[in-house]
Amino acid sequence: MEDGISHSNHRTLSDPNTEVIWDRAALAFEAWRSGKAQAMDELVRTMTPVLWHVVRAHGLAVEQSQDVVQSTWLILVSRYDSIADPRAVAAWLTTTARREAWRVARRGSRNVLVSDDILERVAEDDGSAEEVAVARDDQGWLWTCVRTLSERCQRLLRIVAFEERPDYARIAADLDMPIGSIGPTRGRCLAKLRDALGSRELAR
Amino acid sequence: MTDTELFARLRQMWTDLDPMPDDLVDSILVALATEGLAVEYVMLTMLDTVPALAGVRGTSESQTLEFTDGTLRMLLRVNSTGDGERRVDGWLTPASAMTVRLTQAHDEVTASISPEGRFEFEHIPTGRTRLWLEVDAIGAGGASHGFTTAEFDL
Repeated sequence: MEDGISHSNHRTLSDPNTEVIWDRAALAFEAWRSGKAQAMDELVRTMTPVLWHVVRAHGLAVEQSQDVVQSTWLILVSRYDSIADPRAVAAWLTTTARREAWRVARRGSRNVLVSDDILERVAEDDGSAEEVAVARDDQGWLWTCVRTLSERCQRLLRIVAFEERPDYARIAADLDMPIGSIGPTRGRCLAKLRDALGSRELAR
Repeated sequence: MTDTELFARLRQMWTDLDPMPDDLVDSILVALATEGLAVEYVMLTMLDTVPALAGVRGTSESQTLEFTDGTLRMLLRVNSTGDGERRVDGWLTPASAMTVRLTQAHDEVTASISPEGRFEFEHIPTGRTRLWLEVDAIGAGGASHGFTTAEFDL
């Protein structure tokens, strides 16, 4: 499955390209396990942004999301023995983060609608959200279209976008969906997004 | 646009619109560094350097850095001593009975804090640096936990 891996020529430095990230995480983890304490910094810097998006996709508020990401790292240092293959560390981290997020979301009395929450963050940063949408052009349009999707679609697309090889069985459990339905649902969500994007071609 | 490209755009969008908080990585590194230690460390975050005081990188610069947790303030004046090393003069308010420890990749040095809250480090190589404030004595009437800064460049 090619989804997690971008071969786009238009990649920018800030594009958190998953292939590069996964490789870097594996190397750092291996170095850390062989006694190079500093390598943990690299691992944390590399994987924390990914974990952030995976956790936020579960509808946790900003503060709760920070806590979940932090406990994911504390779990790693106490249980890293269970990771036999260093290349599995990124997947192990995202799975653990999703599990923790799910646990906290279940316990929480009220989860946030993350898209509204993002709207607020954007508005706080830059003034009116509408202005931002226009100003950011293609990205603003993409965001406008994503917001027309159901919350479930938004979550699923966000998780899939940031994971290398999404574990559909696990995601199904986390989103309260039947296992076999994730693939088709992902397809439907993508189709809806493409419909919404419509005739307006995203610039190269 | 292929699915792969679309997902790359979605990644970029969420990265831009809902980024992780700036201090998340630092607080995780602090949590990991202090995990299992008896003393708890409260993180001091760096305030934006006052532009007028921020030195230009080069030869004769002096830079001022400020850290705080809301109550404790630590001001650092960093001077280049010409041989590629740094001199750090620090000032802690309110002054408290603590020792300050400066750690870099493979080294650490400690300095005592004067009753006025002053401390200094000389001949410090450039590089990623973190300061730790350790409580001196139990029952000193001061803080019951230590403090640590986010990592910064000297």
